[in-house]
Amino acid sequence: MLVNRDFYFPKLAIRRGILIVVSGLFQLNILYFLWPFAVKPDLLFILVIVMAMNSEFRKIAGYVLFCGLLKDAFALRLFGFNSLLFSLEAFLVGYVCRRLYYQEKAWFGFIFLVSAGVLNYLILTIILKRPYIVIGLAEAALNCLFFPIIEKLYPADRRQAAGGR
Amino acid sequence: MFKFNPAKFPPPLISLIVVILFFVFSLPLKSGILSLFSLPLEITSSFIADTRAVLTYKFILEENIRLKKEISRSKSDSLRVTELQLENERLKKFLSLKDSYQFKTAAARVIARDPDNWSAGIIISKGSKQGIMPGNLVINDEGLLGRIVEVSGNSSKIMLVNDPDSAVGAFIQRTREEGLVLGTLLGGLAMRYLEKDSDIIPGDIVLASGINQELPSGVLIGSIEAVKDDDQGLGKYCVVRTAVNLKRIREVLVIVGK
Repeated sequence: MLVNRDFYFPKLAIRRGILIVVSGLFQLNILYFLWPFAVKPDLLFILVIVMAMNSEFRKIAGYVLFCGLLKDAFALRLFGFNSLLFSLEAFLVGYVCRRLYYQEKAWFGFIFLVSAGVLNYLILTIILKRPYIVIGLAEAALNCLFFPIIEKLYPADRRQAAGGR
Repeated sequence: MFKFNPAKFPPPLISLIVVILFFVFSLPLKSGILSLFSLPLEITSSFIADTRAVLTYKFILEENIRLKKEISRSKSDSLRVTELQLENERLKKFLSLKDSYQFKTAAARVIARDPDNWSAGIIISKGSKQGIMPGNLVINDEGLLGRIVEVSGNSSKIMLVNDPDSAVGAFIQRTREEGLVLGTLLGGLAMRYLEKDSDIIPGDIVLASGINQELPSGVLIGSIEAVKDDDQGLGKYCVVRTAVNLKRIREVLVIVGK
């Protein structure tokens, strides 16, 4: 059910909302001024993976969809591509995380980022019939660099913050 | 009696239904999000531009001195150009040629960039309320930028010339050969469909052809950086360096009509 349990924890909801908006502003604007290379990291995508690893899908589904929608609204083509893939990947990542031992999650963050990122570009390559996979690999490597920062900033659920699952 | 219990539906199915609803209501959703984020993006752009101006004051001062010297050189050149224009007018009158079209433009500021790495686009602060329509071409004082692909009330999306889906008719100024300028995957430009025996050299200027009169003929696209044989060996293709620094665009001019 997509009921947002953060209604009962407004501070958590506000912090997550601010993190999404700031990541969006960086992705859409600020990063272009600061980043010198052709390929840039996907901060919203990293945030989606971090959310999926640290919270149940039911609690973050709305945030994940909003991240996807934010990217889609400003993208040139394929409206809905990011919304759909972010939702699917967040669900799969959360599903895998629930079945793994909690302490091993740190390493799996990088695996999820790379595999989900490459999957996105593989699908793009099939849809648009261009070899985007090289860009996908470069972006996945950059995402791994920013992953620890965003994971630090993300406010985890209260139960998990206390050490439970 | 049947009771709808949403808790029994699996989350992926609910997400899929929500996403399908998003597709159905995509246009108002897109417009809403673009409008919602327009103001914070404009504020962010202005703040970054002002901060950069303060930090790069010394470089700006040196550039200012250099540009003043260029202006004084240009003034003497413009006198010569004026003479040539007057001669051109006289000749046109003799031949009874029509004057070239004047184009109406709308100036706009860049507020955001395309968030993906696989396309090249920008979002500007003007839209249909200012007379902008999909298909309008976009230039600035340095050259051709791209084309409007999507318009909402107060914002528009521009596909830049280096987008992989972009194609612009162009010609080489020196040899007058025509070709097509296409965007590449990593944001570069290539000019294709050139003759195998063409004598294009690095440094040649590439101009937009303006064939369908949507654009003033002779708008600068860039210059040739390298000349290579194409994969089939039937012609040549060139790597083009854009005249405009596509990573540092702040203001644009949209050609909205004649």
